Amino acid sequence: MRLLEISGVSAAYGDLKVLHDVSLHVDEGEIVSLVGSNGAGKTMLLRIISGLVPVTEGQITLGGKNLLKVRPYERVSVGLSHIPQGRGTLAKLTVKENLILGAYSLKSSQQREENIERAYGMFPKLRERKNQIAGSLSGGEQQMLAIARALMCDPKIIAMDEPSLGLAPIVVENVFEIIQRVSSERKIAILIVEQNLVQSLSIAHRGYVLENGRIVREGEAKALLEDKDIRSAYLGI
Amino acid sequence: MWIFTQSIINGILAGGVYALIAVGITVIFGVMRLVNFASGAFFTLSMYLGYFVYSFTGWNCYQLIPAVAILSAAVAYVTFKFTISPVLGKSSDATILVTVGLSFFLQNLVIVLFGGTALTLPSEISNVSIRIGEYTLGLPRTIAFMVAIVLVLGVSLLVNKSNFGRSMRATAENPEVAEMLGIKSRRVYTLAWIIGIVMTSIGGLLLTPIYYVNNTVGAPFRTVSLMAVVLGGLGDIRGAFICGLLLGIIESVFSAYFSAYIGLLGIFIVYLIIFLFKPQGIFGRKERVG
Ligand SMILES: Nc1ncnc2c1ncn2[C@@H]1O[C@H](COP(=O)(O)OP(=O)(O)OP(=O)(O)O)[C@@H](O)[C@H]1O
Ligand SMILES: [Mg+2]
Repeated sequence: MRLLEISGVSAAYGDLKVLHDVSLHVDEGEIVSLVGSNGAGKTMLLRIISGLVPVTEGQITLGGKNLLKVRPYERVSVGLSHIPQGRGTLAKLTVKENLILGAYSLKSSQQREENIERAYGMFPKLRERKNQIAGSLSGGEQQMLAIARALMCDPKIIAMDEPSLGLAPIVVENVFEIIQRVSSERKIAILIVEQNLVQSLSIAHRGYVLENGRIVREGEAKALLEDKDIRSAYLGI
Repeated sequence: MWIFTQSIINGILAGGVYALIAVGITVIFGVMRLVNFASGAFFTLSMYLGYFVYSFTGWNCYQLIPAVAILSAAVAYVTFKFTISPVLGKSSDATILVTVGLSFFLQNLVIVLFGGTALTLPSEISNVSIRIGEYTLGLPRTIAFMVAIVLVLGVSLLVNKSNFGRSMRATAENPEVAEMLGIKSRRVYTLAWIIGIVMTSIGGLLLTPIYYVNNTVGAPFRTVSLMAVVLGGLGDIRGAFICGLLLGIIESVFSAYFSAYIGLLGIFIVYLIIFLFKPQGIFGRKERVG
């Protein structure tokens, strides 16, 4: 089942056209990886999905609903969670407050409590640190918090902007494992935007390659990983 | 020694209202990085609003609190929608000009509506005071102080413990992330503005037993409270509160030892000295909030 469908999206910062006719889709429960180098427009695409940047052309639907008509602060209620570049944890609030705010869109406070317990169960470190301010966590712990918080609203899809950024390789591996586990256990679709091509494609079902604001390749993640051109362009081998 | 202790007592009591206004300014600044230069004008306006309701009802200053709170909240809502909201997120020059402009507008509006002569809101307790040993506490100031403390405590609880407070702090730190979480930042800004204005307004109303109501009565209060906000570290509620009390004490000590006209000057001198050595304020950390 189609969940997120982006079709023919173009967008610009002022006069600078960044995205050109981008189309991609994510099915329910699917992990899709969008890879591309610095400045390709990956962050911009996610900011468009969250409603922080307008499109000049194109359509976006989530679960059949026209997402561009939904106000930014209402998008979480239609099932969209966004982990922005740099993780977006609120450094001056405690770990627990960050989690509570993750469930801001939920009506029932009982549901909120349950989800917090579930988050602590999944990330025991967060329970230990719950009354510490988020800014005092390590980079890896903050990424865990970001993921835990993104799950608090029971989303249908989580869009993640470079979850590997600034993390040691071993932590990156751990983070990707968690992402994969969360997605398969809870049937949550994930759209990962990454420069780390190997790691993100190796947990993904499908992938897209974004270059200078255009989708230049798409396909099964495995096929992209084994592709000679992509390997030489992105890995230098 | 008597003079000294008595002037400290007077200063703490007077400082309560500075602290109240300073915390009101801080709530607004903390959430949307906007310095409310119109706080003095809202202070003034609230006294006129009190007079207005009094002229129908004959209520005293304390009975007027709910009515003035509601009316000033309404004025705050309207001014936010039509003056603040359009410039939010624009340059800080624009926001400064808007609050300064709003200040002039309100100060002149009250002249148009109520005339230019000073008014009084009669109060039976204007001259009543409490004696504790050899010291005297003016009753109106004492009540104003106590109400101010209660309001400041209430607002800090709201900010630090409530659901709404959490969404305020989230918006203050990162409005984009707050929106991603489902928080409507416009609503948070509107409510922060209203809370800040109502605090200032109640401060003004509480001083009607001992101040004439005229269109510039709020100006010194705004100036001193803004200084308390800066000394308190810009955006720090606790800092603004303590510095509000501190400036009240300084004013009172200077008035006691020199003359009543010197009080404000004393505040300026101390402010400049502190600012010279600690430009980030007494409680300001090097790295500022936000
Ligand atoms: N606020 C902005 N104003 C103007 N141009 C911007 C702005 N943000 C990004 N850009 C430009 O848009 C282009 C795409 O930026 P974007 O942040 O989407 O890239 P990215 O693929 O996420 O890169 P990275 O991997 O470095 O995060 C870049 O050329 C960038 O310089
Ligand atoms: Mg980016």
